[in-house]
Amino acid sequence: MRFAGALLLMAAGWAAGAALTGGLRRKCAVLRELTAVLFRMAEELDQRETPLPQIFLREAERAPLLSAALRLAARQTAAGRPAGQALAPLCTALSKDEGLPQAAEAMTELSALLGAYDAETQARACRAAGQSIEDLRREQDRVLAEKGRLYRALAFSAGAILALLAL
Amino acid sequence: MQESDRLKSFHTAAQLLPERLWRAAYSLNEEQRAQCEELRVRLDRPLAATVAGRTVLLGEGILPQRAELEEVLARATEASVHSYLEQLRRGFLTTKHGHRLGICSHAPDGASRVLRGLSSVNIRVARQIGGLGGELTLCGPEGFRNTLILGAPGAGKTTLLRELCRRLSADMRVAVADERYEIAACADGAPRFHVGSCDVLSGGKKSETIPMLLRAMSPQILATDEITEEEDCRALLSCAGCGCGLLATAHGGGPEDLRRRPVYRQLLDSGVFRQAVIVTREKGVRSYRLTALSAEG
Repeated sequence: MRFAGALLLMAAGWAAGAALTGGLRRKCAVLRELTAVLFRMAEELDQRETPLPQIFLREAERAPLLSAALRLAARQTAAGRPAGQALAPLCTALSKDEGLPQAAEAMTELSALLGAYDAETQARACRAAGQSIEDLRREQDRVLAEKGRLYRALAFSAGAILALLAL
Repeated sequence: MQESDRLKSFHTAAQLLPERLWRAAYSLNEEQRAQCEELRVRLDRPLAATVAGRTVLLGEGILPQRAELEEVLARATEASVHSYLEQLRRGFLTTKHGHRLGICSHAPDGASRVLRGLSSVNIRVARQIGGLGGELTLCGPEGFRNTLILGAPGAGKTTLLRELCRRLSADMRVAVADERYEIAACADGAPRFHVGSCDVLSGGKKSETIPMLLRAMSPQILATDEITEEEDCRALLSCAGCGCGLLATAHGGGPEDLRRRPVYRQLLDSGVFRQAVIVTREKGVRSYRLTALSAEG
């Protein structure tokens, strides 16, 4: 029984370490989705010159983490709000809720161009924003890998110490 | 068009305006709103409405700013200028409700990637008036085949053309080359105006779309709006040579006006058009006069 309890304590420690990196994992997932959205938007603009409300609506279905903000942007652009205003809630969510101010900044810069220029210029801007967010994601992935290992090791060790004390 | 439809049409046109201009537009009474033909937004000038042919200034002291003009454009394009750039480069666009926006800006040429210096926007309220030209009796066995509709800007040429297309398409194959989206006002392929069972090809240059329609849709009648260029005339001539009837509009008070312009002279000399309907408008009332056209003038 004692041996089983000790194993459980160590497993709980490992799980706690993994949970500590949950925020980082979510950041990476958001950035991954955002990058994919931007590259798809670039394709859509380049090849079909699709209006922004349709693009946002389609992307809202493909990107669950950004869905609410993209749906709102679709509604607002359909009502004639400039993309800068329509994407402001997404930028705020990225900056405040997700803790990704750099991604928010890139999106703010991009949104000032969306809908106001020809499709080619906008597609180029989407790709550039997508690239900078992709770089940010790589950086976050590296941090996640490092911190993940550290947190797991620390929490596992704490669990092991508790297990030793219990034994 | 019922009054309620006209009011709805005014409502969707006024929705293109930013809030304070929208409020100014709604200072028109219901009757004026139903008769409203245009809403003009000019930079630093009062909002103007054309009601039954007369200009009415709206919103005392309210002078539209550049951002408001840009907002009109954003509303009309659903914040997607890129989807309408081809139209905008020609100085206009048609909204999903069929309203036509005339745009004045700095050099909207083929190379520009953005519209700069927006100075005025004219929202032409989409109106379909049924039963037009009812007093016109069919001239000869060909009816309205090979008819040219003449009139001054705003006289109602396109409205009559649309009505004729609707009527003729009941028992003939009618194809429409709608370069400026004015005849059928197609949005996402669906005509916003009732044009009957016409085949509509929107957006392209007439000189390109007329041969396409001829080859692909084998029309008995081909209708098009605003012949302005020599290449349009050439396309129409080649079309007439294939046994297809023609319906077209042109700016002018009468056949003599057309003869003064080289572009049309060739068309008249060819004898393609057998008759002209001259549309005039006085004090908001349209009248139509049918006259025979001869190749000799």
